[in-house]
Amino acid sequence: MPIEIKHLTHVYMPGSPFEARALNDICLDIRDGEFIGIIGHTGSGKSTLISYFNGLERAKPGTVFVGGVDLGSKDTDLIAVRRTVGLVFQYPEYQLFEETVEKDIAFGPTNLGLPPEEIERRVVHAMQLVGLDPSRAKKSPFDLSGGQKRRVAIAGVLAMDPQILVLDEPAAGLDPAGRHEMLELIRDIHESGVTIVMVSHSMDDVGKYCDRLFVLSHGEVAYQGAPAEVFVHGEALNAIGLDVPECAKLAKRLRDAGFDIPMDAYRLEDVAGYIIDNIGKGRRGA
Amino acid sequence: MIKNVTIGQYFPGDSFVHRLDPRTKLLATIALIAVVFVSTGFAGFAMIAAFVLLTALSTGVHLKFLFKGLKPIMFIIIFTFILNLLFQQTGGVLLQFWIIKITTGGLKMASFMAARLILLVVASQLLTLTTSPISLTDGLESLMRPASKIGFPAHEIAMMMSIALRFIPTLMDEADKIMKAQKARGANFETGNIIQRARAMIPLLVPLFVGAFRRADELALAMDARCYRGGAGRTRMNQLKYGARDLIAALAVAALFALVILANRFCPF
Amino acid sequence: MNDVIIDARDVCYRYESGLSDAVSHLSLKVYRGEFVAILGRNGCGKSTLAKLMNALLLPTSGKITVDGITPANEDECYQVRRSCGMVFQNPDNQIVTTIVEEDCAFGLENLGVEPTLIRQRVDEALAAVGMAQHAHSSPAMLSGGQKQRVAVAGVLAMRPKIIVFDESTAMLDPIGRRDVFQLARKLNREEGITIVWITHFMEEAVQADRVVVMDRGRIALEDTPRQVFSQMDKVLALGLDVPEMMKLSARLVAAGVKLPQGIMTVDEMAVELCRLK
Repeated sequence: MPIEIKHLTHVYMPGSPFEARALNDICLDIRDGEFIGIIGHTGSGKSTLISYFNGLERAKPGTVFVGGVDLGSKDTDLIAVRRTVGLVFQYPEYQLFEETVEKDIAFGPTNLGLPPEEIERRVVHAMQLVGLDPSRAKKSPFDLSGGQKRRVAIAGVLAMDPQILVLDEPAAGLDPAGRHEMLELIRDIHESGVTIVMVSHSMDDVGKYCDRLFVLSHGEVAYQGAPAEVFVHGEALNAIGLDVPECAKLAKRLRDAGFDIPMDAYRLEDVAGYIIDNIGKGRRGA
Repeated sequence: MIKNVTIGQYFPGDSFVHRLDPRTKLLATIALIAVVFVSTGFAGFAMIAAFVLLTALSTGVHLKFLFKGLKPIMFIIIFTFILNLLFQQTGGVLLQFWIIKITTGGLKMASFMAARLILLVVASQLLTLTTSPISLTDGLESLMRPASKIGFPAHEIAMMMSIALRFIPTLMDEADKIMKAQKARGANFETGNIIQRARAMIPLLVPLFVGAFRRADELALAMDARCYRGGAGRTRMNQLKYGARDLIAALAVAALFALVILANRFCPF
Repeated sequence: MNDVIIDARDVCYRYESGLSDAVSHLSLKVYRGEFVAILGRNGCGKSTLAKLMNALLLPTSGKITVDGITPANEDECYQVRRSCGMVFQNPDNQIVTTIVEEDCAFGLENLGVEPTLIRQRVDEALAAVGMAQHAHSSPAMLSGGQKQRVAVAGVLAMRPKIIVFDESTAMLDPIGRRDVFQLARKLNREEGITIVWITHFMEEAVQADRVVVMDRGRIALEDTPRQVFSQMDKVLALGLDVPEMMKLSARLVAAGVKLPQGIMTVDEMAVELCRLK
């Protein structure tokens, strides 16, 4: 189910003294099975943008198509859209409300009006996908640790069985080990066949996991492409408050100093390989 | 997204009225309300209305905001008007059909009650339009302070009000986020009968309350960390001070009072 | 530097609902003028330790002395809070009033300081954190980083000797994070304020004078950032990360490249590699 957005503009609080353009003429497309990263600092419009992905906001100027269905159209069945596109907001653990973990996860599928056996199956499956031990099913979600709560929240969205999963800063506020586990978890979900759109501040994270990036700045797509294509704009990204991964920075420094490292190297393993080649060559030359 | 909406209906400005001490404005508003009740005829109302309108014009606040406050109580005003119109049966008959009889006395009484309500609302509207919630709170605290000697928790009430004001936008924003998140899980807040709708609020209200308690907990800790110990021994950076301006305002209100009382006596209508 | 400003000796703390100590037999000295980073996975007791430093909690056993005071009664707790300010994680939950400058004055008002002096100190503090132009704004209109700077100003106005930052950058975007961290560094260098910086971000920790890694209520590692992060396997086992350049360095060394120990930054790495070429 591809997402296709054309000329989307979002004016925030139109007609009031606070009127501002949160999104300006956004065009982007997300293809089946991709792992997409959306980066930008606070106020760049990231969070507004993702609200359009499942029709929480309706495009006025511009169009949003999900799997060929126009989300702006009055006739569109939004529940069907929300079943296709799962949205996990920032700090999703603050949305938990049920007495038990399994009831909370079942909230979505229940709203879809599925039969009890199917709901049951989905809850079990979703818990498994996010790595929650089945013994926790009957526990109160409020008794879990922060990282576990977040997993419950994500499972709640996965239980809708979405084809596209959109996550707004899924690793925010977690400790390094928790971050790593969360990102690996999303990678696993991706590998199970779900298209992923991940909003992030961290260039390191998107560089590591994403196929393609959209860099938002002041409500516009400033850069897009594979991570390597985006990281080339190191200084320009700095100017809009974003940082490129350390290894990309090092690669540029070394290139400037005469090392032979291709422009698109940013992964640690790749950069290490090139450095070893270069130093080896240097020795042979000497 | 909602968080940038101003709370209350404060209309920022720098007029004479805006710069009055909030205590003066509070007391003047109470006086205005009193004078509305003191007035026994339309002549008095005309004077009060003129006073309120002139004051409003001097503040630069758009007049439509002044009357916006009437909207929610329009129903009550109309209801009062009709009730008085139908059941006050004095003076000459103006109109009669079926069981309905409208009299001049009824019309007069109905108009009088409606005018009184409208004036009450508009006068208090003037206060909230020209005074920020926070200075209103400061004014209230200061006015209530003498009562704290007899154990009335003036400081605590003012502190609660100001914290509530501080957190309303934050919680509204949070409610908006939670609502979106639950909608993304297929929740439906818009349709259904009243019971279904009330049930649909649970996924919104539970996290909102849990969140509010968490915030309260953290805020209490942050206040402790900054040596908060209640009102005793506390000073304020911005001290309220009466000035010449406040004296002028007091005189103006007193003059209005005198005129209305005179009107009651000498103007029969 | 040898002047100890926070001295924790064999401190334990257990929450009423806790099954084990959140902080367990912990001894730590923080020196006047130091910038100490405290790291550790969630639930390792960092925040509890922070609250012990600020007398928001009192040790279940053991002693903690802050700027010469060992808090036991309420008055001593207030004295400790005067000299040791604290900035919390969530910027929204520590701002008390609806106007920036009034929030900044909150602490001084609590202390009963003269209004004219409050005004002067608030203006100074807001200028020091670069928020003077927002003095009359509503906190709701500010970004996360700006709110945290207001929170710092509120603490700064009370003229503390120590400021504890409890994951104060965790909820900020990269710009806000950098601003708040730079501010803390500036206060440390220029005003001589002792900083205890609790964080999950290694790129912040590497800039500290000293790094303390906590695990299950105890101190697991304690040394200069270079020494701590050189023990890569240990640090990773404690649920933390090491700077990217240290990982790269380990990989290169394993492949036979002769690099010195403890390279942490891109600059250092570039210099060393250019020398080798």
